[in-house]
Amino acid sequence: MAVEVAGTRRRFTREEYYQMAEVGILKPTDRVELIQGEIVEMSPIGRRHKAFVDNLTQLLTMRIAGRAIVSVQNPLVLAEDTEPDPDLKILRRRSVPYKELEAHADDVLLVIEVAESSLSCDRSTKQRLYAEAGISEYWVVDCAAESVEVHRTPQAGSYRDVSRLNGVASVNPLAFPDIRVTLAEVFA
Amino acid sequence: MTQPPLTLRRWKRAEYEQLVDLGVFQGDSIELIGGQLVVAEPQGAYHASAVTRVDYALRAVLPGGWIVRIQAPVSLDDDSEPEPDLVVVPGRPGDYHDSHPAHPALAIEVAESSLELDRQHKGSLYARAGIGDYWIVNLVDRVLEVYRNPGADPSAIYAWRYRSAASLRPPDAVAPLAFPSSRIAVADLLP
Repeated sequence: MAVEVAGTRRRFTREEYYQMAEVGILKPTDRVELIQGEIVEMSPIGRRHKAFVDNLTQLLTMRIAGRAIVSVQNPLVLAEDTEPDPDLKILRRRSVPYKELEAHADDVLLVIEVAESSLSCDRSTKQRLYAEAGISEYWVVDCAAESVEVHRTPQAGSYRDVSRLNGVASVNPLAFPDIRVTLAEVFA
Repeated sequence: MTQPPLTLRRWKRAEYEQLVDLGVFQGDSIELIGGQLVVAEPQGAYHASAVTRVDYALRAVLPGGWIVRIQAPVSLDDDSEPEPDLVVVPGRPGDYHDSHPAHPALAIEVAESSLELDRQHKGSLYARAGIGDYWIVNLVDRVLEVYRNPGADPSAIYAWRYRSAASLRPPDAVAPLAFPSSRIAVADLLP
């Protein structure tokens, strides 16, 4: 039940969020992410969602091998109170290894959310967060429609260029123009 | 810009108490209301003074074996730990050093800006927890609102509400449901 509380909710920092995980208040089985200080439940992952995440993982990993890192359902630090877990992201290789410093917005070349029941949130809240963080490219993979929405050119909290791809279309990531991803492969 | 509501992680009372013990909320005034951590509004002088007035009026008539607690936590149910302005609970002043009381005989909120919150949200929450006697000292209209007889109501915020509501004003008198012989002049509860 979504109960609206009149009054101001307490918001948390990343530090507090990790403290909760350390002492076991947030458990590894809790599927949550920190969005602007709020601890948000992630929607359950359905069969099609899992399959499309696996397809994307497979084809991006193979095509980008050695040039960048494909990171699946891992956290991304956007601010002191915001740390979503995008379904996929492509991270640049950098001199400071990721074991020493988490992925931040400026490490990200592409973020992908696969949306089954989270479509409206991925197209609004997440879209705004990623645009505000200056992430240059963001894809929303719509499981139901079998379409991909490509967002580019972040500007003032949204993306200026948005295109929706269907059917036999394909897309080349901005950061890797030589790599082509067809929708047929994504939704295989 | 409107946004679809996010599904927020809801907190259990046990988790909230762990967070309190961790010291996460040091310096913050927080209540757990129906699984959500709500920041308490800062309190003005008028409100604080009204709470003190109600405290003294209650203590003057309470029988032995009952105490008044002011803005102290109540272990209301598994996802709520509010801090009502005043509650009357059984016991002696040194009691409840290991855990908060769970079943107040009377809960009172002193309401100025929080009137709607106290009526709709807290009223439904307290009714759901089975608090049989809930008063709002309404500073806006200068009346005492007395809520009793909690019952299920799917349209209420927490699916419960008080079936009986009375508005009392001077020269009326009121007695807590649990102590019918302890009469208090409504004038003594209002500033």
